Amino acid sequence: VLSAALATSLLAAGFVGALGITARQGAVAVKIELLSHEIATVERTERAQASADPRTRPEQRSEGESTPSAIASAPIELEASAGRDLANPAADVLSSRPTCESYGTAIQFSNRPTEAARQARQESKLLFLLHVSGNFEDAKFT
Amino acid sequence: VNALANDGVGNYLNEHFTASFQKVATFQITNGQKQGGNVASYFCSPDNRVLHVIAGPVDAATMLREARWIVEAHKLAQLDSAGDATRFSENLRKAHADRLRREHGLDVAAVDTGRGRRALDNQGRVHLLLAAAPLVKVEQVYKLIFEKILGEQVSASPVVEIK
Repeated sequence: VLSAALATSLLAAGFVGALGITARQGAVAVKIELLSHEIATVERTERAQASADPRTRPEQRSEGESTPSAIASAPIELEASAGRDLANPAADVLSSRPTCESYGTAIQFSNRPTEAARQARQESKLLFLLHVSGNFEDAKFT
Repeated sequence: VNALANDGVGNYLNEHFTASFQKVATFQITNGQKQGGNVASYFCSPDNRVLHVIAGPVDAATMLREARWIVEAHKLAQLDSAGDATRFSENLRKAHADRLRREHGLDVAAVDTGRGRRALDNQGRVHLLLAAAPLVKVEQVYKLIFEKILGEQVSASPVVEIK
């Protein structure tokens, strides 16, 4: 009886301790939870868009994923979102002819993100992508 | 953009990266004064997975430091993961969590740092985001970064000049 009572007390103490730890982690956990929730929402929307769009079916996607090749099967893998200009090679092709300029910087920029990504794969480099307000090509509007 | 005109930054980025740009927002020019506008610099794998982000304009030294950091962190993650995607992702998550702890005092793994709320700056928020979601794709987070971290509205509208 004594050992059973002791075991029960230890279990109860452990449970209370776990609750304390959970409470202290709360602030951090809430922040991560919020961010994860936002990303999950975007993922769901994109998955729905991608499945509705024949252009984004797996057989239509380009070859040559980067870094460890197994990343293609990682849990966060999503269909490419052809419904958005940002990831839409067709929109990229329509935007302008591919050029490589420095635009007043010390860096060679391709005017097409998909072209830069293809080049990065080919040259075993990483991709540097600048998101800007305004027109990057025109210093006055950047 | 001034940091990108620096030769040291240029040489390093040209050596390790291919580069491109994307207009994601706009701003207004009123009587010659620029109102709004911002920039986010993404360091990605060629399949558009975000390895690191610099949220907002920075000087050349910061740009170079961050570029070097992610290139080395990426190399180390590749070495350690030996082709295992889960380990690769976990390595990058840890790299961001380490910087979040060391530079912003927020330890996502510790049990005794929950007291009070910490005000993270933009870069702290980026590390928190990428510690929570390593290797997320650019198209999944660019709105979050531009609107929630930088406080700018994503827009395809042209720049408006008001005189």
